Amino acid sequence: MTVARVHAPPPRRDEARGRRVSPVRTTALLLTAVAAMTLLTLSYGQVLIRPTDLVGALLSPAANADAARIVIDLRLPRVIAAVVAGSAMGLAGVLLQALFRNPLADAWSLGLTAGGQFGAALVVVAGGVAFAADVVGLLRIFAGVSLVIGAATGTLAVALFMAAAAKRVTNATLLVMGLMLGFLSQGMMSVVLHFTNRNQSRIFASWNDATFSAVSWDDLPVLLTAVVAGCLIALVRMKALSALLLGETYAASLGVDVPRLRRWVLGGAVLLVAPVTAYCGPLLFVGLLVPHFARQVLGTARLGAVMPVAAAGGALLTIVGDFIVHLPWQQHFLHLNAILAVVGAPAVITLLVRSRGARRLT
Amino acid sequence: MTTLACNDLAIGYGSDTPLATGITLTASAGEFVCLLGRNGVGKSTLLRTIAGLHPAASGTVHLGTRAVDSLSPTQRAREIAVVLTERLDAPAMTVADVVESGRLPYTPWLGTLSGADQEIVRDALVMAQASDLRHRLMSELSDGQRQRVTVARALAQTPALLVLDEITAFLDLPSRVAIMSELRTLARTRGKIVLLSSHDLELSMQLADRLWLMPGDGSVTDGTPETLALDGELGRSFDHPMLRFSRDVGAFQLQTAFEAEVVLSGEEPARFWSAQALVRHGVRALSDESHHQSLTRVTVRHVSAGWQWSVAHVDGTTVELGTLEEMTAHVRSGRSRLDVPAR
Repeated sequence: MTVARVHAPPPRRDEARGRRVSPVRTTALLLTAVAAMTLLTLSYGQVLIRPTDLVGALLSPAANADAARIVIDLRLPRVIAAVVAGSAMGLAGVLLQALFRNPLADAWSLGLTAGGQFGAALVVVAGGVAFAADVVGLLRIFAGVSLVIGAATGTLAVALFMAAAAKRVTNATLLVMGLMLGFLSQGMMSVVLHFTNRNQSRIFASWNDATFSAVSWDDLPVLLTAVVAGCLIALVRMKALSALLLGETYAASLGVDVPRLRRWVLGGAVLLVAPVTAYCGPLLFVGLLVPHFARQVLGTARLGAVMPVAAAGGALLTIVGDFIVHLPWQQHFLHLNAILAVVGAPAVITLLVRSRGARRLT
Repeated sequence: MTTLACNDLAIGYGSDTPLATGITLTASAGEFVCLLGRNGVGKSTLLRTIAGLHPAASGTVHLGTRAVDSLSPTQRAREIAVVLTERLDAPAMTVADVVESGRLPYTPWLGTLSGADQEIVRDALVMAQASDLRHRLMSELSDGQRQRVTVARALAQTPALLVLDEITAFLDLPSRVAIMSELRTLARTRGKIVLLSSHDLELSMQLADRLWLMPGDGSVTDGTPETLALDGELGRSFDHPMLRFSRDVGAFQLQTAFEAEVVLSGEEPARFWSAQALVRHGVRALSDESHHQSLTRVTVRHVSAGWQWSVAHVDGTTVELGTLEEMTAHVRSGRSRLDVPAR
């Protein structure tokens, strides 16, 4: 052992190792924060609902019609969507980073979100053609399952493409390709919109910035079903996926059917990402940042610890973002993606400069 | 006890010509086997085929009574563990995470470790002498430490057969010796079959119970190190125009074009190192028995100050020299060369 010790780098992370944080406690803490933010977001906004009115609106909506309309019809579905979307994107980030063995992989950086957006856009345009200028018909399409199917098709197409490309190019190239797919999808949507009418353009303009306001009670069953299915796949495949953290050959030597695992995990990621993209728009940075946050806090990449913390952390990030967006501003120009980008971009740059994981990129 | 047996095995990729055919080999529990061969002869492919990670072109590999390719992936993972050449790259994982992953073939669907699993993980860390690294991150480890952890991970799989592919390639000599002796001890004390491919012929000869040689002609030869050396199999497998296996020294020696010859005698170990020095300078050192009266004679003996060399020339003159360097310089000098016409 003396031989090995001579070559060892100085143990700089001694302190970090000492505080190995319990994943259960971290998740519980994050969920408490999410619950607190939920109550805050339900009561605070353009219209302030006092705690007593909030309780009244939730318990007996009929007696508090005004408050109930704001809390139950407008804010509650929005908050649920924020929590579900944040968890889904955080979990999808963990899945994709493990699957691609790439610390900067996520639904957005790999172009899955772009694919989903474009798929959904095609459905809307097709709906627009079918219903001509009938805005009501258009909105009905927009809220429908078809939108999710369109987004899922686009997401899946990109996911399969990227999985195939990952065997041929380096991690860094793959990320650049993902970002290019993002631009491509933006460009193609503009081209498509150029040939459609203004109503559709308006819908896309807000949708591109990501928002949870568009989600209604009718949308939640579809959103929740897909995300819960994605979570179940993540849970069932977690053990095999943790073997993949060691590399494909080691995973195979541990009895994992790697091609089958890839298909399952990609499918799970699509189920998590596609409905969120369809209903809430492209959520930037959540899936990229939250897994890093989880690993940093926990001091390990063990999936059993990282997954719950990433899901709860994602929910917290999106609900805080949504809360800031819906503060009683004088003018309503603040978008969720603006906030996520202001937080996310510097964090990613820091990761690139400092993270030893990022060194693997080249 | 478990036995590993390859029966008329052929290895290769797809429709290409097989890398090796007709491989029939056995190894028993408790044996430390080193697979030797030059780069590209198919060592890794043979190991991957034996480990069930690559299909055999033809023939079978049996571990005990079962054919390896008839095992389910999980059964196989319980019987065979591998350590690969490539660095195990899992920067954000702790050593404990990595070693615990060796228990995956045994754990229930969520991967929860039982008390017994924990005990096996601790035991594996102790065996690989990596217990003190347990809470370190993989990215902080040196190459030698990382290799110990990957060995511990494989041991945590509690396999009957441990397959290691060129794991010592980027380690320094003391680390190589340490890891290979530990593997041998492991094979003996735990009754495992340890199969290691290596470039390190001299170390393998000293540590292996059995060598599998791949000369590169599509065959694999099996035997104990000494028999293979004595029969000249080692030479047949590895000789090179510039390098030849010396059965006398038990090591590979550079092929030198000799310019001169002397008769060398004296006390060991000085005689041995004098011969090495002379060979390096292009002078063949013949042993005393060769009685070449026409050659310069070099004799080395122990004196109070160290070693002393006397060089007796054919013309009767004798020169006493106090260092090895002076002796070789003297022998190489023009006068000495005149005595000894080059052959």
